[in-house]
Amino acid sequence: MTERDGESPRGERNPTPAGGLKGPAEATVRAPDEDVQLMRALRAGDTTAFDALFRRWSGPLLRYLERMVRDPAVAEELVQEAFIRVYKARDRYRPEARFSTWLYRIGTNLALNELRRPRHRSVHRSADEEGAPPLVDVGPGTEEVVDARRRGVAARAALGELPEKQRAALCLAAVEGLSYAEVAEALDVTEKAVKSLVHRARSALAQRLGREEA
Amino acid sequence: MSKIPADCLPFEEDLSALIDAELDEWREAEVRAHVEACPRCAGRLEALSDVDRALGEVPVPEVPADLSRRLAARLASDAPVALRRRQLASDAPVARRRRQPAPRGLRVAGALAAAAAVALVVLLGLPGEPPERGPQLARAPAVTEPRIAPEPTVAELEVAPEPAAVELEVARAPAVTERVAVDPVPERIAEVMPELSPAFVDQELEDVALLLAVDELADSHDLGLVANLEFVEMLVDLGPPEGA
Repeated sequence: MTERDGESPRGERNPTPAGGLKGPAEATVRAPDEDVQLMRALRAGDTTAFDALFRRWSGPLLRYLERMVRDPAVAEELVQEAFIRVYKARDRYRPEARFSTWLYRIGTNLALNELRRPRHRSVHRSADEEGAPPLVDVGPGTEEVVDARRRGVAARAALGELPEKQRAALCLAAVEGLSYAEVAEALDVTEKAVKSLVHRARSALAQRLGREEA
Repeated sequence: MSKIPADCLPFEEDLSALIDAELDEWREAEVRAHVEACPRCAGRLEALSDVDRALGEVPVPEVPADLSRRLAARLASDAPVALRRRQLASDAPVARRRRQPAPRGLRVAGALAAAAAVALVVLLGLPGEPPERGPQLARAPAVTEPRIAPEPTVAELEVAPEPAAVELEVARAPAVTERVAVDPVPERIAEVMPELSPAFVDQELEDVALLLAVDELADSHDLGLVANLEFVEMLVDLGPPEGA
């Protein structure tokens, strides 16, 4: 997270999260007070606030859920489901809790439920089947781009082989930029457990990606 | 990873915490001092940091332009239809009924009438049901005011008391053809529209046109699912087709 919200307890943590994400990652740079205000407005009946929350958070949530379930179509459905739950539970939202943490907790629960479905467990997908863009259309000066894409596809596949909670913890901490305390809240575990989950996940990925000898 | 030397063990997990800026100032200084003096931990820190760089290169999915519209439609129906749909499509066996298709005119009129029934139920609610505005989604012109009613909604009306689900194939633009589970319509729709018997509506649910008709009503007339009473009433005036 890029010093998200200006109030991260981690100060300058992850100035370029996960290698400098572009696009939807930028959506995570926002003031939490704004989210709280939008939730308050939604609770008060201002339905346009729901649209604003969706526009702000659907991208980051989709990215997270897509990495969790490894199926873009399923991830999109889970994003919808998560926002439906946000809407229905708007009266139960506590302003002292960050909206993003609450949303990621909802999303995590949905993803874990989805992953535990028998048909999901039995599915094995190759990188191509997982929606990785084909490594074609190499133009001048794009060798680095292709290499990066190849590394990204490999990382995505390796990420998918991690145990679910390790994957969730690493994605939330390293990609989405949540603090360990926030990850703990989203995963309903202790901060100490998050620290262990994140480290084990990073270590496993380092091995699988050949960054480190087995 | 090879076995961690005893001297490095106290710093192992803190290498990740260092990357994540989760260490307090004092501990961070300790870990950094160790890393500077320990080639093994320096290499490990680099390897772990590379993981984050690789994660940053994972392709990022784009939010589909129609996602908010689909969300609005789901809020309008107040049912996790898609999830039920996928579940039924992938989990066999599913009770499935196949009938001979009705003549086209019958199917279209029936579908429109059924759509009108659904729209009316959504629009008017059930007796005693207080109105409630749903969320507005800017990119969802087709469903501008979905209702999340505390009382029975269309979605709840669609929930079958018995597991006699009918599996249908429905093409909903722009999505690809997908299998849809539509539960039998209970009798309460008939309370709203007595001329539409549950048997008739149930039969017509097998026609692809039901959900499409609701969508098309919204799209072609910019009504939203629940907006224009006059138009819906006009459709209702068509009544069920002869022989229904």
